[in-house]
Amino acid sequence: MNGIAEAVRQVRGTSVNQVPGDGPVLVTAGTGVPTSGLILCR
Amino acid sequence: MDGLVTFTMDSNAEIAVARELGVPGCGFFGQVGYGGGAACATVQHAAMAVATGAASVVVCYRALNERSGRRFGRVAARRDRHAHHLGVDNGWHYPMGIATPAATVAMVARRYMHEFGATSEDFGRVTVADRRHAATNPHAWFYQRPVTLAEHQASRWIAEPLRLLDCCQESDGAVAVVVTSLDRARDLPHPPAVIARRRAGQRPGPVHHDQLLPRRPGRPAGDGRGRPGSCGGRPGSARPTCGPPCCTTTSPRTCCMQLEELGFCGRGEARDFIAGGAIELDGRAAASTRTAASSARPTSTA
Repeated sequence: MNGIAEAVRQVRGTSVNQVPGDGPVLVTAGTGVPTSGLILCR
Repeated sequence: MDGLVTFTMDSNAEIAVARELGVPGCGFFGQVGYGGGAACATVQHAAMAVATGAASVVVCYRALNERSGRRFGRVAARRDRHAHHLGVDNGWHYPMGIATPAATVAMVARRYMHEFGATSEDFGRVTVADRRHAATNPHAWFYQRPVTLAEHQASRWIAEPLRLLDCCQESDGAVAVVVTSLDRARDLPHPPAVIARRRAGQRPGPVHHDQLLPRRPGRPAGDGRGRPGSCGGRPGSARPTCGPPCCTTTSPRTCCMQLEELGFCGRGEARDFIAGGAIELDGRAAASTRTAASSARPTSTA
């Protein structure tokens, strides 16, 4: 869930470790168990 | 807010949260199975609720006292004796002494190393990148405390081949994400993050076991990603245009496998991909920029 919060910060440009560019952000969940993923964008 | 979604492993039931917060007219509740794997799926549930009109504003949340409460790194006795599905799942490995997340994942890590020649140092490079990102984050447990590959290699075994610096923190924490319609979100003070794609899935085998299968070309991926070739876009919807991707993964071992399964590199190539700087902030797949599992507990993963 922290990964989702960080993805929102990346999309907003407010991360302390901001990735350059305005591309979408991929979030992945834990694996090995039933898993899930998201792509967030502006 | 009129909807709540969390994980089945969360001990704060939606109905109790709604009651304690005094939320009037909460009309949508949902839970997604398991722990860390459910994270993005909670948003999928919420988005569907908003899209169908079942709710207008849904909060996805996860909270746990994994440091002050039950610590995942410790063996919990008799978890293979439960008279429900977890007893069945745990029954596959608890009797063999595999009774913590690290021990379970160690089996998969060992298989990955066997198949592709990856080493502990390869996992360590993910940790070093994670900790470099944590070191600049004032909210991270390891703020201003980066580590070197040598320190990773000197850290003790937790469950061989996984070292202390391969593993998650056990910490208390809570996260909430608000999901609503795009029209409503665009009217709020902060710019929204738009859900372009969402997906949940699982493999047919027992938890973690599919990852132990040989990952030869043509064989379905073993990362529990479900049916390949679909990421949940609506028919006719535009594909998101890709700039530099940012992949927020969980642990060093899963980072390697996920980079391969997601197509950032070929199978077995993650170690070279990572060694070449791909998961750094200016790399092709900048990863775990939030600080990552090995630096700050991602609030529920193994």
